[in-house]
Formats: sequence, structure tokens, C-alpha cells
Amino acid sequence: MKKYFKLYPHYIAMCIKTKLSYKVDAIIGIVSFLITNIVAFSTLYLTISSIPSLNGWTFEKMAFLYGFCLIPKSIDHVFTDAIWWLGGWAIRKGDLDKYLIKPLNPLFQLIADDFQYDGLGELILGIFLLIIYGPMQNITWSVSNVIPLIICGFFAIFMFTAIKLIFASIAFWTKRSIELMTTIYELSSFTKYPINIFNRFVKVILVYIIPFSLAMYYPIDYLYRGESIWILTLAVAAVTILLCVIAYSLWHIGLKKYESAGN
Amino acid sequence: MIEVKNITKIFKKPVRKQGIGGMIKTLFSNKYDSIVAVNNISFTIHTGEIVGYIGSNGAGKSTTIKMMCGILTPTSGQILIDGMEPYNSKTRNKVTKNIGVVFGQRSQLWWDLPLIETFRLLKLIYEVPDTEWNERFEYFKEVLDIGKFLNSPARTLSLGQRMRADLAASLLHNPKVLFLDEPTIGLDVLVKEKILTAIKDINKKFNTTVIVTTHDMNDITELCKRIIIIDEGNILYDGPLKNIKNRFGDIRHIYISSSERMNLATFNAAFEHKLSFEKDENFLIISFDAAILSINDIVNYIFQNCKVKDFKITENNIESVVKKIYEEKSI
Amino acid sequence: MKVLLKRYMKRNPFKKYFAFVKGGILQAFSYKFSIFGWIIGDFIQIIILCFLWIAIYQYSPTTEINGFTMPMMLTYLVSARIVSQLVFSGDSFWQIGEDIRYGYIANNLIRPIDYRKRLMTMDIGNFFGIMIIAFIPIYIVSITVLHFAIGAMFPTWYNIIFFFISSLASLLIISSFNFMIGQLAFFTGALFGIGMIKNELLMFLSGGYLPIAFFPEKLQAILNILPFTSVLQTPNFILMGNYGITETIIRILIQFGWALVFSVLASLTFKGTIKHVTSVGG
Repeated sequence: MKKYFKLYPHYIAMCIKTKLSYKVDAIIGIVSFLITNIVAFSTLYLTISSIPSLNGWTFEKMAFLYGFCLIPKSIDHVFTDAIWWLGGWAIRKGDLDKYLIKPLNPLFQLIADDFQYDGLGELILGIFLLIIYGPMQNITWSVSNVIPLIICGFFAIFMFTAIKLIFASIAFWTKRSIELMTTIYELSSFTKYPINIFNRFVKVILVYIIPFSLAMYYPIDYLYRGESIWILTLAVAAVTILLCVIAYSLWHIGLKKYESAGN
Repeated sequence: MIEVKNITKIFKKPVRKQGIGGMIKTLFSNKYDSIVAVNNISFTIHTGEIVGYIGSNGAGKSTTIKMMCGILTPTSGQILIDGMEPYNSKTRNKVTKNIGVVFGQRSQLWWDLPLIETFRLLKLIYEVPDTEWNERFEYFKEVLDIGKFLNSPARTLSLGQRMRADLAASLLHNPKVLFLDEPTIGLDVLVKEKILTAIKDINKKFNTTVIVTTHDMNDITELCKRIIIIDEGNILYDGPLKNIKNRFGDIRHIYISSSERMNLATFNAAFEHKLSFEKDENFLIISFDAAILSINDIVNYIFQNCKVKDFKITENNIESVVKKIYEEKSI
Repeated sequence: MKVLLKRYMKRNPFKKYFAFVKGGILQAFSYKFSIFGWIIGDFIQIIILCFLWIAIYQYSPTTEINGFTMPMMLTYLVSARIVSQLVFSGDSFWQIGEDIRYGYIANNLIRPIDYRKRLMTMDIGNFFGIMIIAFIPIYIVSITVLHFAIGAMFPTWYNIIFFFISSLASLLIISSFNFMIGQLAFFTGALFGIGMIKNELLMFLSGGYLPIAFFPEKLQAILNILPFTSVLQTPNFILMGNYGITETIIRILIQFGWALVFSVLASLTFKGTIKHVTSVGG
């Protein structure tokens, strides 16, 4: 285990060195994510501005939620972007071969092989939104609400990773699953809305099956309503761990089925 | 020691039909073809051997190698490297610590970074102690002549340089077994020589077991004492290289060019009509089985009966022998 | 009739490009899971988007928001999504990137007109391909569901025909636009990032995420002058039947006008880029 902690920084260094050799590309990468998020944020603004409030949620409340959602999403994006390769083309091209012949966990190698600092743009935007819209909420900030929020955010990172990995691993059977991965991943963009405006079917999906809203919407909702977030945090942690176990098992089974590139 | 016991590998490929109509039909069908890539093969390779694994494309060589490296899991049967299964996730790490793999068609170097970075990271991954690493690094720098481009990114290297670098990368951790999958493909003669010499040297010095798959018969003759021939998933031959030649007779070909003409009928009569003749441009080719007739006698006869301008003697090349084996599917 | 058709097909330059497109489609769709994933993904996104807007209208004090009733809004958003996939299918953008990256353009310095013609026919072929395989089935299903669910209107025959012409015009504009932006590949390898920026801004500013009517007044004025509205909102509104015949024709003419403008711009920028690249020796 210690070996992995020692090695990871080296992998990241390799990635950064590679990307820095293309400086302009790096900047464009960061800008592109910023723009995507600015577009989404503007769309949100223009949408919500056309009505007084959405189920009691004003724009300021939604902006804060949006910022909160960006943070685990961006952190996961920075570290585990390589999982997209798995669902996209790694299986067909036989890219996993080089991981399997080294004495190191193949999933670790896959994930360590990419470090997308583009995602830092998203992270900064998220923090920025929290800082601007946080004070506008009538909340007394204290240990009892900040800490569970942070814990939920922390687990939410792994929720993203686990869900990506589950759908990426399907590619071991279908050769390519990136379209499905994208669909599921984009469901997370609906967590910025109060879940109760959707009908029951959507709510069940976003809270119980692909539980993005459980980890990101509900903590903020409880925060606004002054309810204790601790038990929710427990639920989020449990669900995330369960998802991680499922994800890793699926990966493991899929790896045995791996057929590499054509002969 | 590598033990391959009754290995079978079956791939399932979806049945695909032609054209757009076919594509739509395929969309909604669930039929699969089973392709038997490797069919119940077994062999054992001992430490220090250099084995050539040859077969035509699609014969199953890459599949077998991938199973031995731990990339693919056999559908049935077992592979043991020093008593452990390479494809078993529980033992994979232990096995891979002691193997090195070079894929001729794909590189394992970090593409955009200087070679030296790849090597440094590999040192950490394989946990090679400093002194050992330094020693081996110097050795490979010399034997493979890679010192000049250590600081160049892998993507800027020529094919020959990249292959040498890949070879070094696969050996820095002193693996007991080296798998080479088409290592000399696309390389020019000089580089090939360098690589083959290096492999022989390494095998001698470190007693590394080497398994080479290749189409290049020259590689085989240079490196291997034993070859395994695989065709359509089955092993056609597994044994010493020279036995093949012996089984097919030790055919020699003498090329002579002369301004005179020899009486071929008398020539052949003198050797029990066991000679065969062919013309190739300016050369007369005399073929015979050296196991039956004496080379000395034939050569003497030629020089006594003819003013020879140019003379060459060759033996049957492995290529044609192997081709014959494929054709006959047996020995 | 058959003879005439055959003769037309023989002379049709698109035929060989359609063969390319067919090949491209076959390849992309060789994984059935891929296609199903794509189509299902689209449907799920659309469904959730509809629920979102149904909710928004529930909380709205008025039945109309910025001139859109709920059925209109849903129809607009759904068809905007589907139409954008048809029209923004920027494969030529990535193709240019590849060609530049692998030196095809620089090494051959082929005539700009020929190269652009090739790319444009590729886009057009693509257009037809996607139209047949994805657009028509998805649109039919969506509009039928919307009709029975919330009373959305089916398009009339002339809506459809004009829509077809209008979307083709949009395609031409986008094709030239892609070409212009694609040239940036000469200067950077980050085509993916540039592509994302281009696509996001295009979708947003042409009314793909939200009708232009939702934008602040000043911005609307600017967007209406620029070609952005023509590219998505125009074909979309035509399909929805929002314009009368005269207005439809005028708008289509404006679109073709923009197509011409962009075509010229694309050629000019290309000449400039080539000059720059050859002088620098890139």
C-alpha cells in the first residue's frame, strides 16, 4: 500500500511534465472548462430569473448549491479522468496490456496515468460561487454544519469515481460504453435543481440509484432548513462505500474477461 | 520454469453482416461465433532456454504469449511460471515482477517524456535497488547503444531506437523471463543485428529465459535452439531447430556460374541420379541431400569438370521448411 | 424514371462521399451498445429536461414565460436538442485537426477550394446519414409523445420541407465556421478544448439551451444581428411552425446569405493561414 502512495506523485509529475510541454494547450484546456461552466451557470441564471422561485429556491440558493456540486465533480475530474478511456477505446485498442504486465494494480496505473489539471478551473469556480453566495444565505456557520458538509463533499468525489467506473467497466463486455457513461455522468447536472420539482421516477433515480442528489443536493437542503446533516452524512458514506465496492468488483470481473486488441 | 498445460482460448465474436441493412440486423441480433484461437496446447520451457514461437498471422502465437504474460486468461487449462499463474490477480504482481515484455507493435515507453524518465519510474515500480539498477543501466546503455538519446522523448525516436529502448526498459529489473512479440519487425539489418546480439548476450550473462515470436526466420536461426510451431491454434512442432532440418533432409544448393557447359546427364549419373538442377539467371543450381551424398565428392567433380567463375553453397532455409510443415500440417 | 435516377446517381458527386459517410457510420455504429447508449442517453436527457420545465411552469405565476407557453417551450427544447445534433455534427472540424496534425494539408498544399469542397461534402453526407438514422426516428417519437402528452403540434408538410432547406443552410454555415476555427490546429494541439469551447458557445448563443427570448434585451439584439440565431433557432422555429411563409423564406435567404459570408471568410482565413505557415515553415 505504501508503495502506491510513494509512486502516485511520480505518476502525476509525469503527467504534468507531459502536459506542460504543450503550454498553450494547457491554458485552452482550463479555459474550455471554465466556459462550459459559465454557459451552464448563465443558463441556470436566465432560467430561474424568469420565475420568482423554484419550489422556494431562489437563484442565490441555487447558485450556492451549484458551487457545492462543482467541487466533488471537479476533484474527481482532475484525478480519475482516465476512466473515460476505459469506456471509450482502451479495451478495443488493447491499452490495458501494458498495465497488466507490471507488478502494480492495473486500476491504479490506469487512473494514475492521467492528471487533468483542466479540472482546477471548475474547482476554482465552485469555490468562488460558494464564497459569493454563501454569505447570502441566512445560516449560522458552525462546526456542526460545515464539517458534515465537507464530509459529504469528500464522499461525493468517490461517488463520481465509482459511478464512472461501473459504467466504464461495462465496456469489458460491450467493448465500448462511453455513450452510456456520458448519459449517466450528465445526470449529475440535474442535481443543481431541488429534487422535489421532478416527478417521483426521476427522484428515485437521482437519490437511490445514481445517488448524486443524495450526496450533493440533500446536504445543502438540510443546511438551508437548519436540519442536522450528520445522519445524512452517514447515509452518503455508506452508499458511496457500497458503490465503490460494486465498481471495483465489476472492474475486477471485467478484467478477467479482457480480450485485448485483435490478434 | 514455464509450464503451459492444456491451454485453450476461445473468443466470442458477434456475427456481423454486410452493408447498412446488415448493420441494422446485427443491431438486433445476439448471435456469436466462437473462435478457437488456441486449442489444447502444452509445452514446458526451462530456465535459460531461448525458444522461438512461430506461426502465421492468426495462428494463435500472440494469444499464447498474452496468456503467458497475464494479459489474457485461458478459457481452460493452466499456465504456471515458477509455479504461479500470471493471469490470476492474486499472483499477478509476484509473477510480473519477474517478467519483461516487449511488444514490437506497441511501445511501453512514456511517449512524450525523455526516455530517462520512463526508466526512473520503472525503477520505482519494480523496486530495483540502486546499485543493481546502476549496474544494469550502464550495461544496457552499452549493449543496446542507447546513451545518445536518453534525454529525447520517446515520440521523437526512430523505430530502431525505440525498440532498443523498449528492450532496455523490459530488462532493467532483471526479469527471469523475457517475452518478445515481433521484436525486429520493421527494423533494418544493422539494428536487428544489435538487438539479436544483445539478446544472446543477456541470455548468456543472466540466464534469462527468452521466448520470441517472430516471422523473421533469420531471428530464429540466430537466436533459438528450440522452436515451437503453431498453426490454427495447434502445435505442429516442438523441438530443436536442427532436427527440423534433419527431418527434411539436409538439402544443400550449390550455385555455380561458368563460361563452359557441363554435361548434366553424366553429372547426375555419377551421383546415382540424386541431383536436381535449376537455372537462375547466370547460375546453375545443383541441389542434393547432404545426408546421402558427399559434399566433398560433388564439389570435386564440379571443379574437375568445369572452369568455375563463381561458386556458392547454401542450405535449405528454415522458411521453406516451415512452409512445408504448414502445408503438410504434420511432421 | 429508374433510368433517370440511375443517371443522376452516376453524376452525383455526393455518391462517393456518401460511401465515405456510410463507412463512417458503419464504423461508429459497429458497437450496438454504442448506438443504444447514445439514443437512450438522448431520451433520458430530454425527459428530465421536460420534467424540469414542467416544474418551472408550475412555479410560474403566468402561463407564458417570455412568450412561450409550456407546450411551446417543451417542443422548442426537445427539437432544439435534436436539431442541434443534426446541424452541429462537426466531424469536419475534427477531420481538419487530424489533417493538419498529420501534415496532410501542409505537405500537399492542395488547393483550398478542393479541400473545402471535400470537407463540405463530407459534412453533407454526414448530415444525410444522421438525418436518416437518428434524426427522423428520434424526432418522430419525441413529437408524437409530446403531442399526446401536452398537445404539441405536429409540423405540417411545408414546415418539414422548409425545415429541411433551412437546416441544410445551417449546415453550410457551420461547415465553413468549423473550417475557420479548425485552422487553429496549425497553432495548437488542443483541438479538443477548442472544440468544446466552440460547441458550448454555439449551443448557448444559438438558442440550444434556452430560447433567445430569455436573454437580456441587449444581448438578444446582438445575437439577432450575428448569424447565431439563424443557425439553430431559425430551422427550429420553422419546424415548429412559428413563422409564416413569407418570413420563413426571408429567414432562409438570410441563412444562405450568412453561408456565403462564412464561406468567403473561411477561404480568406485559410489563404492567410497557409501563407503564415509556409513562411514560418511549420
